[in-house]
Amino acid sequence: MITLPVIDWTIVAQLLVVFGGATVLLLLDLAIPAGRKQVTAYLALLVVLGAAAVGVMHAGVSGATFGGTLRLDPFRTAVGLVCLAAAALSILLAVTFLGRHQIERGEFAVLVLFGVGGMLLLVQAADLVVMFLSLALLSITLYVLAGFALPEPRSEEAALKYLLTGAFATGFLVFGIALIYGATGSTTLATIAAAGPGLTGEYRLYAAAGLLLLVVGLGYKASLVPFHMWTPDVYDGAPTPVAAFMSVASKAAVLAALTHVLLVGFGELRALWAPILAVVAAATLLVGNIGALVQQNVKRMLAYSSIGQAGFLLFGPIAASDRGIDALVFYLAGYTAANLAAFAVLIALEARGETEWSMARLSGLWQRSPGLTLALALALLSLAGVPPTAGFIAKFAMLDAVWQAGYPALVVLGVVTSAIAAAYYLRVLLRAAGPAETDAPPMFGDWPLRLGMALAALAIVVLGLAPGWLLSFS
Amino acid sequence: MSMIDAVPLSWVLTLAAILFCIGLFGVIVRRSLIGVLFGVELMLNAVNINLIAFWRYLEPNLVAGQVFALFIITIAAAEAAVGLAMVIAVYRTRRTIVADDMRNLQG
Amino acid sequence: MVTVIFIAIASLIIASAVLVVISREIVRAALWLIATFFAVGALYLLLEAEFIGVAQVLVYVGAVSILILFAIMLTRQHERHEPAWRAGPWWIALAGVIGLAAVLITTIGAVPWRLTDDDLPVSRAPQLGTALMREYLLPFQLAAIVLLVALIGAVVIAMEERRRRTPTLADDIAAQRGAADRAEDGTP
Repeated sequence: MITLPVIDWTIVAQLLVVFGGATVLLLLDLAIPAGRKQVTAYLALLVVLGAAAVGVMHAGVSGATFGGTLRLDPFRTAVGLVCLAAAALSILLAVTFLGRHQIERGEFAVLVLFGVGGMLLLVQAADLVVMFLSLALLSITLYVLAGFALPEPRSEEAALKYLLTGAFATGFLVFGIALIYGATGSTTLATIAAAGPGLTGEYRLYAAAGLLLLVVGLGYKASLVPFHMWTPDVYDGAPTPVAAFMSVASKAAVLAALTHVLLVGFGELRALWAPILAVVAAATLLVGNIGALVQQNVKRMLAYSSIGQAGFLLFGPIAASDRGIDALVFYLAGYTAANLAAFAVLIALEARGETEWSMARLSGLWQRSPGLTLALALALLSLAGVPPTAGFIAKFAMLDAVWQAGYPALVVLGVVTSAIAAAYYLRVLLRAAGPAETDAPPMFGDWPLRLGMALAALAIVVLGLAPGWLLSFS
Repeated sequence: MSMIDAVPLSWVLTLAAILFCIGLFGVIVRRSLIGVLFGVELMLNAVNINLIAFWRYLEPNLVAGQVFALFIITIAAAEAAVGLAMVIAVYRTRRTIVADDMRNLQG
Repeated sequence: MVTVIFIAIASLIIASAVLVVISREIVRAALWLIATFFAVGALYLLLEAEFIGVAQVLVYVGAVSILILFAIMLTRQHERHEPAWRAGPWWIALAGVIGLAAVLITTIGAVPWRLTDDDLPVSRAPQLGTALMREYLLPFQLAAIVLLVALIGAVVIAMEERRRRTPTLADDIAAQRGAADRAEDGTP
């Protein structure tokens, strides 16, 4: 007779809601007729809200279950809520988009739910095997979502490129985990940390090599330089709501996992990985922001901008302090709101059959729709870090954390690249305020899209004016 | 006479490392998309060899190495399935699966 | 004796892997990949991980290889004599990969591995099964979910539906005729 392990249900409750809801929805979707698949999307939204409610209810819970492989604490709860918010907003943005582009299928919402479940697991994992499996879940979901607009060639290519680079990255990731396992004898982060001091020189080298490969694997998913090559192509080709979801999903969950691996599992190797991470962050900031400067395609510009933001997000683990963790959570929240608001504006202006999302389509937006322009302005100003948006507080908190951790060069670089970023963000806004250059593109203003856009814009402002309550998570 | 006495661990790990690098080379160099997938499968097999060797030589009483290898086999199969489905879908639209020809998204 | 067997299996693995990467025809590469999978399974048996060896053959040779062969069959290229590798300096990739291999092998050789003194447990497969239900229950369920999502994904991507069908010749002719009719009506 096999006795099942003791499970702490309060910790697992949120995951059960998400995965249970996703499975039930998958079955319910069979009963929903083809023309009314929006019902599936709204039901998925309910599941996400339910999971968020459970998360808030258990906000104070801290502990581990499943033998220490799944852990909950304020940081993980907060990042989990950010992921759920991203999923909810993405579903809102996608509901009518799918129908318009004739790719409406119930599986979209179900896949988003599974994806967000993978994100939650990745954030709550305290063991490398669980991390690997949840990352695989998230990745497969995103590959399929990227190719959702089949048979449109751009979407197909995006999905294939994403899958092949992702599978390649998985190879590095698991090789790294295998090396770490060989050196320390365990895959649980706490046990690895405990075994750390006892390792002799060569074993330590082996474990460090494993860590390096693991970071390479995670770096691919989070679009860190030099593993960022897939990002512009995939964001450009994927359906716009999927690009929005991806821009947040890959960063938030993966960076939280990276933070846990580095700080919890390999805290004492900090002298080794912190400088390397600093170099990677610097390179990512430069490539992302300079790359965005030359883009005429708005989706690619947002892709490069998200690469640049990933560089900033790396400041969190580099700082390796409570301040850094707080800043990371806040930055993720602000980044989610801003990116989703920006993509919402793009969705509002995107008709079926458009190939290139050129900047000219945004010209003259101010005259056609002040509401859209306002949302766009808030989003881009927050990404640039202009007060009083959430982005300003976020960047300030990050720079402060890194300054106190002793990396003045990174602070300078952060400020400089933010200035460069402001240049290309403002350039877009100037085009929007200027005269129209092309025939007016169609504008879609259905209520879920408007609601999502409004919520995101509101979040940008609220977080910018009253950041205190979100700034303490360690 | 068992494996542990007959073959040093470093030989098995070296075999895994070489297989990993062959797979890596295949991913970088192969033109056809299915060819790239072959490279990835080789890389994942190499990691599995590594894990099983660690299990056998270092800690045969803990199944962690075997369990992880089993999960890698699972995920590799899942990703291959989705990847091949995409290749088939691309071929239907485009009649080619040569990576260089997919130039719609460049730059 | 065991050493000889190991060297034989290892050579088979490396030789087939190289042939996978080098073969010009994709079918040959696929068959060499199957050979590699078999050889790796044999290695697992030599390492006394019988369950994993059987799983390797069942999953990789039995399922993944069949998938690959089906995919190749359904995507037959008409030009058969194109180069197998991408254009460009492949020797740089080769040099890089050899460099990586050298680094890895040196690191492997340098570590003073503490081999175990324990005897191999007698009932390995039951031990594996029990572990999957106890310590590894979460990853086990998670793997099941991943497979479900992969299944959904593959169906969503590859399933052919009427509105996604590529237009047939009849559809094209009808479309052209319709456009020609409209053009005639439109011009005064």
